Amino acid sequence: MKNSSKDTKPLSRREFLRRAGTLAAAAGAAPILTHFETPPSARAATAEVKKVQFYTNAWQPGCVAAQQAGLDAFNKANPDIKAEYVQGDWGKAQDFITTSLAGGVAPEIMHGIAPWAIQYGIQGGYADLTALIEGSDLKTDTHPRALDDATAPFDHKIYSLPFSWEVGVLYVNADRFKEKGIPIPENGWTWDEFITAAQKLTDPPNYTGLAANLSATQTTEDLIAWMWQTGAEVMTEVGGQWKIDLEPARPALQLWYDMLWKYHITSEASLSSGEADLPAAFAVGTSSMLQTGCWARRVLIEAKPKFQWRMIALPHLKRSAQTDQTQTWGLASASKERGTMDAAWKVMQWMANKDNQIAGALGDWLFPTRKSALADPQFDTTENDWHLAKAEVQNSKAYPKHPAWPEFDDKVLGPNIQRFLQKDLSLDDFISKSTADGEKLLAKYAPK
Amino acid sequence: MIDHVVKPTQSIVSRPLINRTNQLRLQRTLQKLPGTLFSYGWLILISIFTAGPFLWIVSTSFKTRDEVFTITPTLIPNHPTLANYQYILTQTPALRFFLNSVIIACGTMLLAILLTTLGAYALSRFNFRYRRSIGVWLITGQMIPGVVTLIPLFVLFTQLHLINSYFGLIMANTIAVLPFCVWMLKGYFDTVPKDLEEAAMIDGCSRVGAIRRVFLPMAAPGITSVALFSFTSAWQEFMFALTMMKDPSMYPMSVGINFFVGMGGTVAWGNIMAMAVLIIVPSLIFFLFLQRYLISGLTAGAVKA
Amino acid sequence: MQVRSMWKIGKIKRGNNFYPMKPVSFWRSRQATPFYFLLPTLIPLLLLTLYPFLNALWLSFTTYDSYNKDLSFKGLTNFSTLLTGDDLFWVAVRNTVAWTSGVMISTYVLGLITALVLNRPLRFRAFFRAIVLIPWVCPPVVAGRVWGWIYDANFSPLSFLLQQLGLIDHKIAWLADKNLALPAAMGMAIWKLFPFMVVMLLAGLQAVPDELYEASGIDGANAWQQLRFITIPLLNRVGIIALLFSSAWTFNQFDSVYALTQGGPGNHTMLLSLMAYQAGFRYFQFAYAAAIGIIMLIILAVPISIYVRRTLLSSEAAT
Repeated sequence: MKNSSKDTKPLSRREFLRRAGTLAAAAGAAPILTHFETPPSARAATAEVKKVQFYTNAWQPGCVAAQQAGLDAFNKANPDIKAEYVQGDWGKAQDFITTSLAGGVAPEIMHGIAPWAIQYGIQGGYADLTALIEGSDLKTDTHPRALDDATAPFDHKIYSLPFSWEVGVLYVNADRFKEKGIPIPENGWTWDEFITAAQKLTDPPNYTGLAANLSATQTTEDLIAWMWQTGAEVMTEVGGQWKIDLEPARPALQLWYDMLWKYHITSEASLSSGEADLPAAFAVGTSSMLQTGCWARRVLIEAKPKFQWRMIALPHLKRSAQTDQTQTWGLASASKERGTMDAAWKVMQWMANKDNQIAGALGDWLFPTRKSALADPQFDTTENDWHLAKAEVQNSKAYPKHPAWPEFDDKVLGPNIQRFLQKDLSLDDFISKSTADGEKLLAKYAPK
Repeated sequence: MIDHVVKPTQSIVSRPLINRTNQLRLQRTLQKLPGTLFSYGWLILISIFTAGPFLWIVSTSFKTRDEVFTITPTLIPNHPTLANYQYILTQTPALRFFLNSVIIACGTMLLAILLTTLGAYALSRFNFRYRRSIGVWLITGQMIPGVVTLIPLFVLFTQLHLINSYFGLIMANTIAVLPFCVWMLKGYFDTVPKDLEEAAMIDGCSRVGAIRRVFLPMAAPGITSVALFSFTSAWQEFMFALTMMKDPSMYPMSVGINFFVGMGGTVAWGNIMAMAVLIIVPSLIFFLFLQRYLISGLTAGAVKA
Repeated sequence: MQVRSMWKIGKIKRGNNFYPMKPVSFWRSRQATPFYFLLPTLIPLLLLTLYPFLNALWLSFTTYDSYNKDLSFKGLTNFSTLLTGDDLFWVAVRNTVAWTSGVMISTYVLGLITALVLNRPLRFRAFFRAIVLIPWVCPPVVAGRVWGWIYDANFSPLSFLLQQLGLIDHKIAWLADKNLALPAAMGMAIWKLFPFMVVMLLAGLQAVPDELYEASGIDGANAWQQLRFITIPLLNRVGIIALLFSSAWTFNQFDSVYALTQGGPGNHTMLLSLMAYQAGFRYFQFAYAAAIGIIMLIILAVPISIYVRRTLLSSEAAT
């Protein structure tokens, strides 16, 4: 009978509700029982050992080994500090840093390039290192341009410590140069010489003259060097006022347009080739020349190309210029509350000392930023053309530092360059639109 | 069947070569021939399409660096090598990543089964006021773009101390698969007749008991399909895993593979593809094992969904 | 009779008489049972979807970015900038709509044909069913990388194959060509979504009772008519669900496309999800990114709500 079952049921209904309640409670308690992370506060609480996380994007084996050795040496010498090596990678570094800062779980030391550090510094995520740097030998020993690269535009504070930088170079297929009777321009060459040589060095579809990275979000990485060489500053501060300076860059853009459509020195493939594949493609001979950074030598060596290759400077027009991509370490401002800031600064100073900078730079096939380190004879060797790249260190420039640069680069300049090169935009329109949109962005990001 | 017996009076030469039944069979096969030809042809094309990239992954995982970067690619490597597998299994924490993936995927599967069964049962068996709105909210949840919710979720998880914990990631994965699974499972449960449980309850079972004894055995295929779907989704999940796991020793494989990938300029294709094989093959085997439950579980759900 | 109030007052029948029930709070009454079943599901679901959604909604009405962490209400500034002041937005909308509809239609058609074929009694059917499932178990990370290689300008096996077959005469830079980049990315998405569609449609096909085919066969219907009038209408029930969920997934897809093209040559593969990602994670304009997300939700919600209203109403009536 239904009624009788209901009479004897109240206990089981309550029982059921009790069970459901326990289940819900267990589901709610589970996170507390199973979480594995030690809250940040616990990390620094022990006065005994301060843990410092060293987040790095080092990927070339030599540099990874050098950095790990450096941290090991530091830990041995400083038993009260434990520096922990945390591997990152360039592809995800910015996302990692942004989310970590937003969540308050950022590692103490974070590796990136100077423009990123400036942005994070202005936003408050990175600590101001000006006083710390001035109080150490880094102020005098670091190359002034490297320090300038790390200095923020408006408040002129230094939000990260530079330790290495690269030189943008041109890799050339020496055998093909010899074949066509072109001497390797070890002392530099002009745009005209370059174009004449490149025309002889291109034979589509078998191989092209020049390959470069013009893919989306990286379009200006290689191209901006050519724009600088015309004397254009792209985005610069003039008398306290920031402005877009693209008009003088016409020859650079016209040159690339002609290289693509008139001389067929470069192919449309450059518009989608990311940095990853270019050295490998060059090593199998798909292009006679390759524009990228001096870090790629190890990749080329590993690829064992069947030809001799050389690394030389980019051609110059009104001046020599290439990107310097200064790499820096930033200090999380949250480390102050955690009490690990002093320890982290110690680690940074140690990793940025002369020997560690030399070891790291050699392992990364880049150059150190300390003047004393740069003077080391290992950077003057002719093997793998270190000496040629070193001669260009003085001509390297950094990307514009204004906070508007990322949006200008990715949203305005890059796509417009691609559309111009794909004949969707005329040169005049390119310059006028980019300048107009750029000025709007400069206004949007101007400090309030 | 009498007509296939040869009449003894027929001579060899006048006897028909094929008898009537076989003639009909042949006729029917010939009629279906265009359809059958098309079917096989289509299946072969589709198989090339779906399996092609996978074959490429497998083939590249056995190639040396020189063979990867060559102008004339080959499907079967000329000098196959196990070096890539050797490298990732001995020199990298690939096995650790594999273990993490197993923990996270199994955890997601179990939690998803639990929550989905409860939820779908409630939506199917009880008629209450908010039934429709919950269903609508389930679909709406799927429509919110992930990129936008990433940071708020991350901050929320940080405050709940769920970062760097298996449970946090399991929770996030489960929530991601919940809407679709609940929807399909509800449809499946709708086809399981209520009478049996009600009879059991009349006979003195509590509702939970009725579920356990009567309902679950019948609901097994649907629940298996939920298990399969949630396991596979969790196995491949990348965005949450990357954001939530800060400690490299807790990365699942989908994040671990990124380390071979995003490394500055060079991409160790052989290693990445070996890792990819490690990711795909176990999941594929698990999938193949249970796939007929997936289809039967969805079949019934399909009608009533 | 289903009065939901704090104190449930009702009547209980004992024998032939009605006696008033003891008032109980809602949570101890029988009517609360479904909620207890749903609580473990609903609480985390609501927490983890409602909170980010409300967060994004609020952000979209501010001008918060990482430089000026200003959370005050600014009205519809973001939306008006997006709709009137940002050329990229309309490019992205066009691309995203083309992307979603292209992927969905292709996957549906391919999936339908494949499901119909797999439903027939063929030899090696199980083998083919297994092969068709491969893209489902391939993680999007891997898919992005593999397809990036397949479309590589220098090393593409696809170009090589087509050259060997004589269909093209020189290597194609798939992802650099402004007309090929989006279709190439769609190819990858179709590859990934295809097994899901096949499984759903196959399940739906198997649910169509054979008697219908037999009966219509007797009445003289040929294969095409059977397809049009029996199969597809009955399949639409599960087809709509599959389309609903997968179009939401496709519309919001980000990982694999970004890995493949980063927005493509001259913004030709710039989708709304990519635009939101860049606005937030590259330019630190999180309020703007949230506004893009809200608009994405609106664009997605309109057709879906129409479908849901129609199918839910009809199936609710059927149940």
